[in-house]
Amino acid sequence: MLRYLIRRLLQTVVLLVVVSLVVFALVTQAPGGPSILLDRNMGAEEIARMRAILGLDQPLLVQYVRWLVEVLRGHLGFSYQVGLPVLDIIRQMLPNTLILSAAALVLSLVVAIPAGILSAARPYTPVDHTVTFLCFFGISIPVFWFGLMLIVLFSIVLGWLPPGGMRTIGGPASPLDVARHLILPAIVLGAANMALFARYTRSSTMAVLRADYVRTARSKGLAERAVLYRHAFRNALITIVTVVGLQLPRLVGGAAITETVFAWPGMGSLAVRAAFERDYPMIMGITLVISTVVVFSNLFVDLIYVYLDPRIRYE
Amino acid sequence: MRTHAMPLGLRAAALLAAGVLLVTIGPSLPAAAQATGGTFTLPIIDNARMWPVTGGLPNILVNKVLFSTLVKYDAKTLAPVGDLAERWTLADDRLTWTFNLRRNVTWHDGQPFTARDVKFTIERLWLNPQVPFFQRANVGEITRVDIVDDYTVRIVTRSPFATLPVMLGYLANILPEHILGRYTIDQIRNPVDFLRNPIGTGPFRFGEVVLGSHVRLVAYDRYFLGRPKLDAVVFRVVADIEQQLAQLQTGQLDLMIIEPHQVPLVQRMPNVAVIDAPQVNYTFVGFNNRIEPFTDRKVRQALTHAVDRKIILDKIYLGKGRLATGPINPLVGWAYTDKVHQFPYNKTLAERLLEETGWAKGPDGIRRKGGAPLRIAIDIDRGNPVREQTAVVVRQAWRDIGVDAEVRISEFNALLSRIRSQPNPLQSWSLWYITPPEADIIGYYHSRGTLNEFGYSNPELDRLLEDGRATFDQKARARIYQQAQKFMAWDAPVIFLVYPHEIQAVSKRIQGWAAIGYRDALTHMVGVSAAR
Repeated sequence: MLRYLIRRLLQTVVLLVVVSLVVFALVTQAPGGPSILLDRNMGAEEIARMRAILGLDQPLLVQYVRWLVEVLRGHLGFSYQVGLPVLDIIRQMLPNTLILSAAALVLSLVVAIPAGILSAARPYTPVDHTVTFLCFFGISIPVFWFGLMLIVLFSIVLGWLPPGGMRTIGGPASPLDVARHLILPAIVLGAANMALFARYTRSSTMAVLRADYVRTARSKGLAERAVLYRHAFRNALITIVTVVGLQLPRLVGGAAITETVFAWPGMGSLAVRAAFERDYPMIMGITLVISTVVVFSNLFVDLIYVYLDPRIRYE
Repeated sequence: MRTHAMPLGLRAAALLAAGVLLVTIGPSLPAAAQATGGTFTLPIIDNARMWPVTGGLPNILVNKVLFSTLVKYDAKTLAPVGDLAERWTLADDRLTWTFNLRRNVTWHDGQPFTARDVKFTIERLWLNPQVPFFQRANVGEITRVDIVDDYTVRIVTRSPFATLPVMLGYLANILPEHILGRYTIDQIRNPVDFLRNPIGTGPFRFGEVVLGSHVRLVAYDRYFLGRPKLDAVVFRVVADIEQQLAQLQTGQLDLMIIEPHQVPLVQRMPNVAVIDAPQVNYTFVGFNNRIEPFTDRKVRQALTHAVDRKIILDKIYLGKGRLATGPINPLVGWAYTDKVHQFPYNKTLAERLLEETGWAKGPDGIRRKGGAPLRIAIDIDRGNPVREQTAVVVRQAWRDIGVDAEVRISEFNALLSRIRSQPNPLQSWSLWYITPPEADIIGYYHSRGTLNEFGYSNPELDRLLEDGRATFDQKARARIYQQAQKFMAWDAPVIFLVYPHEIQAVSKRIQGWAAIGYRDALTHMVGVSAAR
C-alpha cells in the first residue's frame, strides 16, 4: 500500500509539470495577449516597456522555467489585472467556491440517492419514469438559462431572494445572509449533478439487485428494506463514489457558468475573467491548484474503494 | 421537452429552495436603503487595481473616486477646471506652467497634500522609464517639475503644449509621496501594500475590498470640497450583463451602461431612469491607409459614400447619438465644426468613384483591377451587438457597389493585438475611441502618432496638428482644428460613423448625478446623493 502511494505521488508530480507546461503553451499562444498591454491609450513604446517588465519579451521556455522556479519557492506570481499575489487571490476565492460547490453537492446527493434507489426499487413504474424524466431535464437544461429563469422568478417576480452576489454589501456579514445568496446558485449547480447521480444510483442499484447474494438475502426472508439498504445499496455505492469523486475537482474549480451568471465570487468566475484578460499568472495558478486537486481526489477515491470493498487491495 | 419540463423544474427548484433554507427567505432589500447617507452602487466587470499607473476600465472607474487629479472637467461644459490645482498660468516662454495648489487638501491618512506629491508623481512615476505608466503618451512632453513652495509647482514642457491642462485631467491621478517615496522600483512595479490599503485625496476613501465581490469606498470627512453627501460608493464585480440588469431591477445596482436594444426593457423598470449622456467619443470603420486599395483617397471616399450612416444611427443606435463628421466631438464646442465635406449615402457616386480609380465590375458583379478582385474584410470584436450589426450593414453596403466584402469576428484582445502589430495586417475594422475633451488628435492621426493605428500619414495634416498643439490662443486654435477637420473629412482616412451617447440606466433614487459620460461623472461624486 505504501509503495503504491509513493508511486502515485511521484506520478502526480510528473503529471502536474506536464499539465502546467501544456497550459502555459496554450495560454501564451492564444491570439491576443494580456489586456494590461492592450489599453487603447498605450503607445507601442509603452507596450514594449511593459512587456519587458513582465518578462514577456523572453523566449517562452525561459518564461516557463522562471514561473516553475517561482512555484518551487512557493510563489505563483502577481496577477496582471489585480496586482496582488496569485496565491492570495486564490486563497480568498477558494472558500467561496467550496461553500457553493459543497452546498450544491450536498443538495444533489440528498435528492439524487433516494430518488435513484426509489427508481431502481420500482423499475418501469410511473415513479421511475418521473425520476428518469426529471433526470434528463436536469442533464439537458442549459445552466445559464436555468439560472436566469430562477433569477426572474425568485428575485424579480417574487422578490424573495437576491439575484446575485454572495452577501449584502455594507451590512453585517452573517451566515443567514450568505445562505440567502447561496440558494439559487446551489440549485442551479446541483441540478446537473443531481440528475447524474440519480441515474448512476439507479443503474448500479438495479445491477446489484439482480446479483445472487441479493436473491439469497431475499430467500432468507429478509425484509425488502433491509435487502435494499444493507446489501444492495452498499455495493452500489462503489459506482456512486466513483462518480462523486470525479465531480470533486469541481468543488475547487468552481462552476464557471453558474458563478458568472450569479456573480458569485469564486474560482470559476475568476478563471473566466483571467482567461478573458489573458492574466497568465492567474491562469497558471488556478490551473495548478485545480490539477492538484483533480489528481489527489482521484487518489482519494481509489483509497475509499478499499474501505467500501474489502476485496480491493493495492500492491 | 424543455417547454413542458420547465414548470416541473421550476416547481422542484422552488420546493428545494423552500425546504433547504426556508428560514432565510424574506423580502429582498437593497443594501443601500439601510445606509444613513445612502450608498451608490455601480458595476465593474472585474476586480479593480487601485493603482492609477495601470489602465483597464475597472481600475479607471474606482480610481476616479479614490484619487484626484490636478485638473478635472466641468460637469456641464467639460472645460478644464481646478481639482487639486486652484489655478494655473503659462510663462512667456510658453514652456513653463505654474500650478497653484489647494492648501486644504489632506491624504486619506491625514497627511497634507503638497507640491512634493506632484513632483514625485510626475517625475518618479509618469516619466520614469522603469515604470509602465499607461498614459505616458499624453504627458510625455513634460521634462521636469520644480517645487516653488509647498503649494506651487512649475511644470516645464519640451515644446509648447497647449493641451497640458486637459491632459493633466485625463487619467492622471496624483499619488502620495510620503508613502510611495520610500518604495524601491520593484515595489513600485508591484505595490502590494499600497493596493491593500490605497491612500488618495478623492471624496471617498478606501473601505474594504472583497475580491470577486466588490470594492467599498466610504465618504472622506475631510475632503477638500466638503464631506460627500453619500456615505459610500460601492463597485460590485458583475461581469454578466443579464445579472447586472437583474441587480439594477432589484435595487442592488444604481447604475449600469446599456446598449440601445436594452432601452425598452429598462424603460419598463419603474425604479430606473434612462439617461442619454453625451460623451467625448466617436465610432468608426477604420482603413489601413498603408495598403491597397486604401492608399487611394477616391476609394476611401467611395467606400464612405456607400454606407448609409443615417440608417446605422437610426436603426442600430436607435437615434441615440449624432452622425459623426470627424474625430473631434461636438462636445468640444470651441473647436468642432460640421461645415465639412459630408458623405451622404450615394451609391451612384460611390460606384462612379470606384470606376474612376480603375476598379471595374466583372461578370460576377465583383470589381477588379489588373485582374485582382476588390476584396475587403471588416474585422470586429465579438459580443458587442452594435458593432456586429454595424459591420453587417457596412458589408452589405460595400457588396452593393461590387466589393467582395466579408465580416471577421474575433475576441477583443485578439483584434486589438492584430491592429497593434507591426505592420498592421488588417484591411478595415470597426471600433470606437473615447478621448479627452480636447481637439488635439495628434496621437491618433499624426504620421508619428503613438496611437495612429490607421497608418495614416499626411504632411499637411501633420503640420496643422503640430500648429494646433503649439498655439495657445483658443480662437486661433479653433481655426486650425476646423481646418484640420475639413481636411480630414475630405481625405476620409476612416469612415466616421456616429458620436454615440452613453446610455445610462440610473436608479431614480439617485440625485445630483452629472449627466455626462460616467467616467467623468464619477469625478463629481461629492454632490451626488441617494434617497432612501
